[in-house]
Amino acid sequence: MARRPYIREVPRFSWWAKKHVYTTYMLREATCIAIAVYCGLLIVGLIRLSQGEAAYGAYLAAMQSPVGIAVQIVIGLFALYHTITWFTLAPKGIPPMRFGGERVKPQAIVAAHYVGWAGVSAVVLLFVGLV
Amino acid sequence: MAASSHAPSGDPRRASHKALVWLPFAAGGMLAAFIVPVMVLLTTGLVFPNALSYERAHAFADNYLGKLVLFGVLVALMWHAAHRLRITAHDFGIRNDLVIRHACYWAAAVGSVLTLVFLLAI
Repeated sequence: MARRPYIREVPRFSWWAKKHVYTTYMLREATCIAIAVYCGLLIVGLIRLSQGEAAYGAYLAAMQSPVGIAVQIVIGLFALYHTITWFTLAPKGIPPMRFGGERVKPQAIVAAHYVGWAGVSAVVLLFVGLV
Repeated sequence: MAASSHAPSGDPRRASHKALVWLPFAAGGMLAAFIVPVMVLLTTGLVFPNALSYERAHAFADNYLGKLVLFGVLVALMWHAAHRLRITAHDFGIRNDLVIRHACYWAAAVGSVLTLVFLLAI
């Protein structure tokens, strides 16, 4: 063994900042923090809902205030990034599928996810908004 | 070539408890990808501002189907976030897995219990 082995320095907290693919990987993984925060907001909403109309009204006013909207826009952007990256990875995560004797193309699997997403979003939007 | 629970130690085909944490992670991730963007759009009030009024929200959470939907969604999202944060904590520079593992999974567990308790209180 060499007396002075070369050890490449790797910054513990910022190693991912120098290379674009590492940064996007960390951004993708960090989306879970936004989702956790959003779950926290929703649980507060459930607690306020159980406390009656006045408490829930104050909660809803806070969520729909400029600050509340700004926070949720940040959460929403992270959520969108999660959606896009999740769909991009979908063909690698599910077992190979065959249709008509030919292997289903990865692009077709990604496209199917986007179509499903549009459908689910429309149904949720119409159900919560109009029904 | 079926996976075997009798495969020798170190064999990738050996049965592992990882599937138990990975399944909720994948299910929660799929759910998050499909519904969180539209949920955020609704909770901001930027579309259908009256959709989440007290009467409507209360009516939705006042029956067991609504409670089940809310519980399922919240629990799946929390376990997804907890598992991903635990796995990525090392890359963020937090290298004590024992601490981060307990912090993440306990936070998700407490969140799940709070969700259940307050859903039943509505």
